[in-house]
Amino acid sequence: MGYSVFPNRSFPGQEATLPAIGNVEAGVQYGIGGDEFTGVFVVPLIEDVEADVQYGANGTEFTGTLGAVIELGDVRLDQTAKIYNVQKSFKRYIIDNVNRIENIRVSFDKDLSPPQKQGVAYDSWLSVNFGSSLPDTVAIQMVRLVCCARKDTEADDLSQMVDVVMGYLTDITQTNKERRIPLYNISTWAIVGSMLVFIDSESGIQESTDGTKFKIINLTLKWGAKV
Amino acid sequence: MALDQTAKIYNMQKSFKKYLVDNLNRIEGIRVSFDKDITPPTKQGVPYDEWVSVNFGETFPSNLTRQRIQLALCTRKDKEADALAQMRDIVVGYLTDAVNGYRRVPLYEVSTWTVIGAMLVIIEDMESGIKEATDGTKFKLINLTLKWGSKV
Repeated sequence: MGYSVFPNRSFPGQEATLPAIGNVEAGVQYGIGGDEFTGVFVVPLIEDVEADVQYGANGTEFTGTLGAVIELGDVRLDQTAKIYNVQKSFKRYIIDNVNRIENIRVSFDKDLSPPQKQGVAYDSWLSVNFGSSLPDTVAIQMVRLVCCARKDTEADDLSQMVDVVMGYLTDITQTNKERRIPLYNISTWAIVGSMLVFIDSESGIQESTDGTKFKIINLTLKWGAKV
Repeated sequence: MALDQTAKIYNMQKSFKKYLVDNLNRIEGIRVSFDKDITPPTKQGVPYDEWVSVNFGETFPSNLTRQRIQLALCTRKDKEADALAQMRDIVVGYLTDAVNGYRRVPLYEVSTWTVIGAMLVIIEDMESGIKEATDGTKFKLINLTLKWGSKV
């Protein structure tokens, strides 16, 4: 059935007026027998109508989305995936143990800069440097520890310090000998997991131009993270 | 012959810039720079202390087009790099999606800002360690790849 115009139709003796097919949604059948006519009005897609504009039946059937702000969902990393938590947890572990218990000075910034007290450089210290990381379900953080000693002929102090530090990085009571370091949500200091310590390499005794002897311990922290 | 809208690098770059500006800059207040690597953006000549530098790398046009991007997260006056670690956690939150797996960044036809697709964000390499420039700026590099379906 073809139409060039779509006038509304009235039936003699009846109050009902059928809408023109141009006013009925495409594909909707109506009229005598329920299938006399088929609507041809095409409703625009919601993505073609400006965001928040309502239209359709009663003016509220559809709501446009064109130009709408796209919801991103949760953009905050899970606490187990935050590098800030990892770094702070590791710092806490080192300070609580190596510094407070073993009285070894600890620096978390430049590699071989000796920490100072009232302008006087310490003679032995541990420098902690965070390296590459890989966010994954088993996340990885590389860490480099530099054990440093000055005025240390034959590097005896250095060797003793390395032994102390290594004791806190391994655990002979565990079957796999791997130390577990608590991972905190540092905003509440609640434990959210633990990080395994893997020792990757240990350098020989090296000496810098100012006579500082040092030894480098490369290790990898691994922990389960939700990413 | 004009490229299909999904194959235009201009659309990709503008879409990714819009995503970062709308979110990192407007919501999180992190300055974003799309030009030189570690040059700090300035306000009335005074450099900011925290910013993200975005650098577009190689493109591999195909049905599944890939675009390499390097983000340099930079901080100044940041002893022990705590601020850098915090900024990294915010930025990576916008590059990953723990619910859906990969983050999807809308791809627009920028002449009309109509969404014509979505780009998957894939962090393929390890994030770099904390590095330090000669002026004391600490920075961390994140290499990522955008992947999206395109008609080429």
